[in-house]
Amino acid sequence: MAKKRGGVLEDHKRVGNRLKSPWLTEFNFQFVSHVDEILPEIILLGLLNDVHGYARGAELSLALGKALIAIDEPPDPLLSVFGGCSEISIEEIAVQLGSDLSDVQIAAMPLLAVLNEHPLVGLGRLSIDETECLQRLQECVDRLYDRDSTPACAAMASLYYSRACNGKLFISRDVRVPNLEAIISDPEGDDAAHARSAVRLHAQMLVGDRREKRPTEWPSLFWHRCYLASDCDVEP
Amino acid sequence: MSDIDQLRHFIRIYIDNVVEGLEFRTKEKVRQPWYSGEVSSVLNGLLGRQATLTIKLAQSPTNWDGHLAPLILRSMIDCHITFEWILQNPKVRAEEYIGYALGQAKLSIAHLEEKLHETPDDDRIKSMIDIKQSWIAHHRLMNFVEVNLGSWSGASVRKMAQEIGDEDFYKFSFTPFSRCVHNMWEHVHLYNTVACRNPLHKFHELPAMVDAPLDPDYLYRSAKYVSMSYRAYDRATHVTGAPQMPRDFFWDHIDEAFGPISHEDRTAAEYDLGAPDT
Repeated sequence: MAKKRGGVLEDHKRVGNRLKSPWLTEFNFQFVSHVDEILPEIILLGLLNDVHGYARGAELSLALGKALIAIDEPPDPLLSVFGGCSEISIEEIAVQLGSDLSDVQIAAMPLLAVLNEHPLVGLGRLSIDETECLQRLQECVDRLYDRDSTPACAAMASLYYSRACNGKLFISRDVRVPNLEAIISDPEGDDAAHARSAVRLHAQMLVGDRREKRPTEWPSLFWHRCYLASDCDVEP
Repeated sequence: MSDIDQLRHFIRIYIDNVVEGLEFRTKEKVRQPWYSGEVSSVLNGLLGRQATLTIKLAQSPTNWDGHLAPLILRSMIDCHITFEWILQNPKVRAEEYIGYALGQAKLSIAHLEEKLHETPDDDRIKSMIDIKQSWIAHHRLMNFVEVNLGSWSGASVRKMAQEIGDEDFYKFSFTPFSRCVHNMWEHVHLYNTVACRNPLHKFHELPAMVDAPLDPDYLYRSAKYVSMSYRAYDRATHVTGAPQMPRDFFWDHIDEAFGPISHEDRTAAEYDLGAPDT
């Protein structure tokens, strides 16, 4: 007779030698890591916000989304979406960005300092102070690291915003639409909590779905390059 | 006396107490009919093992920390569970305990013979085989030695703990110390890593030797475990009049090394989910 378990294991089932929660046995959830997968994918959006502020950052992410649609890609300014673009497509994106191009170039500098073979280099490189770039990249990663932080949710909100404004977000009429601005204007409020939840779920679905359909090495390559480019920092 | 002299004095008299307890039990005649030959050898050997481990721990106060002490304490818990489990059916289980070791030695010889086949002139391998053969021959003829490829008792340590009526000892003492013995992440993360603060490195962990505090509580635990085995021996053999148990001796004299211990501190130290003090 199976032994009755209480407390933390109460609803778990034994599968071979492992005790698994219903999340794993009943729903078949697929795990997606904020740090390993989502953060590298949204790093450009984080950099846009860092350099140009949240409002301008959102505008630029929308412009990038429109440019991606012009080359028949989904309007998601993710690292791996640009990573799959040909040289010609990147040239077309540069054309589509028009006057926004230089702002994107400035923001992308720290990223391209470590990923110098990424197709985004085709947008054109500015002269780069590598030490400063690395410092900016480190600060950006630090801000995006906590998935609930305002910078991380703002970057994911940019992703959501680009989808919504480019007509690629499907939503029922009776569903409460997230108030994205609340993430920044009132981060402690209920609207912000709702919006954070919505943009995080959206990012998870997008990145997870993309991983299934178009597996990519860019996120792991990003982390590897970050590791190689900088030294460990240990409290003395 | 200086602090260090007081500590040395405490360690010396603690060791004397443990040895006196061991020698007393060795000298006392045990009247139980099952107590002879292999049974007495095994019980004496395991008591000697418990005494050795607590003495070695006492002799090295620099190891009274979370890095090394759990290695010794887990072994003492394992030893005590084995000891109690054998006492439940001494003749059969003591024979099985020895037989398993002989089988393992025979298996080692087989492995060494395979190696010798590759390097027939290796005198060191020949010497190792000779030593193991002699050790087995001391017990029984090689042809009567069978090799048991499972666990010696045919049961897990958890099952053995259940059968001696002390599963909590397994859950709350054996298992936590096992994390140190088997280098599990729960131990390694706390004792052997320090976080890199660079977000570009995903805050990974770097090797470290964490400065774990020295704590006489580790010696207290070992005093308790050797006392549990002494007590189990006395209960099974009906030996009476033994010297003070090491655990009680520890409490009566620890203040000589570290100053007075408050009732609250003692109560806190004695709180233990996994080893009843009876």
